[in-house]
Amino acid sequence: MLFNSLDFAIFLPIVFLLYWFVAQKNLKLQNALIVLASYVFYGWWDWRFLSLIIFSTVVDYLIGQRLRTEDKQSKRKILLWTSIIVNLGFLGFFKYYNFFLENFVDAFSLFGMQINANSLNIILPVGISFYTFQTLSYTIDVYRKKLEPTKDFMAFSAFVCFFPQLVAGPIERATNLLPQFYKKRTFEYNKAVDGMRQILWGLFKKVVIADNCAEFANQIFNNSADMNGSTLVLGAIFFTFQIYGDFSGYSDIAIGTSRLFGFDLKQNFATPYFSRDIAEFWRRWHISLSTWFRDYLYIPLGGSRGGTWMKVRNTFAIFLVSGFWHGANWTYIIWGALNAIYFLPLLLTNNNRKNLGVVAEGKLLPSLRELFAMLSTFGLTVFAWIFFRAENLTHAFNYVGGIFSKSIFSIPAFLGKRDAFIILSLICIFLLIEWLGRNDKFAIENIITQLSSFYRPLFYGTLLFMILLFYKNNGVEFIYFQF
Amino acid sequence: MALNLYISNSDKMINFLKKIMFISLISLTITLVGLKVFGYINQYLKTSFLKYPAGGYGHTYTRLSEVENIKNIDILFLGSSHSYRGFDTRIFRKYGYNTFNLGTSGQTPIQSKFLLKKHIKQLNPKIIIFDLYHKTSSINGVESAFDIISNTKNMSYFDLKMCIEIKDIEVLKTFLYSYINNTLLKEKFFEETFKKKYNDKYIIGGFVEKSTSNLNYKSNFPKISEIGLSKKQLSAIDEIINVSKNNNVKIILVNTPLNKQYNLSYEHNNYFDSLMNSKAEYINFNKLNLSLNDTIHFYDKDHLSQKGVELFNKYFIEKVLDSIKP
Repeated sequence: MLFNSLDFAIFLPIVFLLYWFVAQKNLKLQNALIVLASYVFYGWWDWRFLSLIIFSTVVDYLIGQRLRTEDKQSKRKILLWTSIIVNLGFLGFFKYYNFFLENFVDAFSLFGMQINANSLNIILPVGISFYTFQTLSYTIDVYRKKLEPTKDFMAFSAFVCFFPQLVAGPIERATNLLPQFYKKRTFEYNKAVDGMRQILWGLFKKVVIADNCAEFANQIFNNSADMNGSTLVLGAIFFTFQIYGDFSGYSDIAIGTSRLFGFDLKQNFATPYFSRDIAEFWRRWHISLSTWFRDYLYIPLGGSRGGTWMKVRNTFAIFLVSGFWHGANWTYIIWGALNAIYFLPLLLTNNNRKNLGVVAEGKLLPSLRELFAMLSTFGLTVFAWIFFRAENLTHAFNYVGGIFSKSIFSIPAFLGKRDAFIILSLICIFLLIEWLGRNDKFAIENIITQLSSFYRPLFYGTLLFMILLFYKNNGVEFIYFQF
Repeated sequence: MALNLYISNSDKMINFLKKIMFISLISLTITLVGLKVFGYINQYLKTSFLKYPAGGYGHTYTRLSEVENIKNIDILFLGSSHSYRGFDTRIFRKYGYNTFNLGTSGQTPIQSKFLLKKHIKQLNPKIIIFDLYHKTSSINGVESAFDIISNTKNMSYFDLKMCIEIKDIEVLKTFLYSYINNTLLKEKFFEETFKKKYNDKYIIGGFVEKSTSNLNYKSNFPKISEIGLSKKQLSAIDEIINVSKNNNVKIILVNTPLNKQYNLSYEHNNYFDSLMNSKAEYINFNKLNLSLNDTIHFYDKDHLSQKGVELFNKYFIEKVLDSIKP
């Protein structure tokens, strides 16, 4: 079920009313309702794949129970690896089987050996990368004795399949989300209102910004061979805002929806396009994934301790794995490698933690230095997104080649189109609002509270009107559903 | 204490729901006013953010206005442009049949169903001729919904139901705008008797005559072996048949003539034919010998020229209608 669909607009109020009016007095009933609603939400897409979620839930629950009583380190390790192999096994099969097979065949053909291996027509289960990582975090934390294994199977099931963040995150840690299922939730008016605001802003980002940018980004990327250099730059910029609006919009809707049910999820985006260097960008972009890799991959590998070689190895490891997590395509791996290359100089010169605060804190405008730093970081990010969006490496390199040609000085083909002009204007307004709200959990959080009670409903109404007006039925699902 | 807490929580929830209702009302007002203003500006801006093809291709506005004053007919035609360009109401009148052609551009069975439900009591037809072009049974009906909604003067419950069934927010947006513009404010429309751009002339009764000598004949079409009939469209066909039966109206499903080469490019015709045959009386005119010539009797791959219409309609009346005349 898509957040920006009529189905969800009907589903959410029904679940909300049942949750607070029928299941309110009973914690177990509330959790059971969440599990049921989450299975309906997921099954709306394809009920057959519910079996994977249920299987992962049962396996990790049982492993958690065994880890509770098992003291022998070698046996604890076997239990941990069982969970890792089962979860990553599913992920590997559904997401990477064909990729490895094709590359294996290609590699052998380089040496003149022909191997006949047929790729399988595999459907990628929506959200498998997200819930796999979420449930893995539980087993790893229980193994590390950072978390007490749960005895409450219903609470654990709800943690694994919690519908607001099931298919595209934020990837929640068991240490943060699971305990919330043990406590009785009472309706908090301010939390619910805040949640609605965040949902509204998320919808604006997705429907108004992302889906409209997608239309132009797709036209330009799909016909890149016929486009001049400046249009290709414009296409990359449209995609840059598409992916941000799409993914951070989804996260906002997920976090806002969770708040309606009394849950607090971690912030997943913090105005990343105002970052002054790539290290800051990665502290602000897809925070739940970056911190997951940091805690479960980067630090166990040694992190930034050790010699230069170790730092380089670990940095490349985390960025390459992060790229590969996004999809079974070399384009994602190159995207990850590019980010590692951007990041390394900062790490090696100990400048990776230079910009920890918010840009131009307490000021209305950034300094020229900050502006230059933001623009150059943005430029590097836009360039990397080309690889992320391209169909394959040939497409990506041709696209980049098209940009670095004489035609970059010609007028972009889409600027004359009224729709494109309106969308570019909307991006400017969007950036302005994001800038004003850069200190907050989501951009309009405090902007709204500063408005008087007369203007507030008008602001909500105007946002809703814009969401309806700019709604495009171009079949663009949330990009991160495929990951 | 626990009871008090519960009551207080319920009050908070009720307050929250009241606030949501209040903001929904404000939002609806802003949306209605905003759509009207944007619609006005968009006449000049011509962006794609509001799809409102009023007075567009196919004379839908004139047809849907005319049908409101029609009563008690012999034959009602439903379907896509194959219907409103294929059944000439003048020819039928010559043979003594009082007919109305309610076909619209790209009309899919979902639209046919709601148009039929909306008008069946008032038109009270004896026979329904429902043109079924497999392509219209394979699409979602969004484009046709834009056409019908934008060109309807008086929106009804059936138009709203059609939007809900299509489940498309863009269609809902067009519905809201048309409701304000056409139904609430009764904005004055236009005359669309002759569309110079398309050489199209509207004929009373819903037919559109193409006056062109510019025949766009092609002899080669790529083979098409896939057929993706939509479940929703197939169930709409079943519902149309049921509505006809419940109103004691005879229904004939037809597949109007297509350019021979084009028709042959479809490899799944037999499957479609057998499926339709299982539902009701069905005639595929592409399988009958009508002596239609691809270059003379068609102006494009799937529309009859006026000469083709005359030949086809004469055949239809003499061989089909006259045989079932009570």
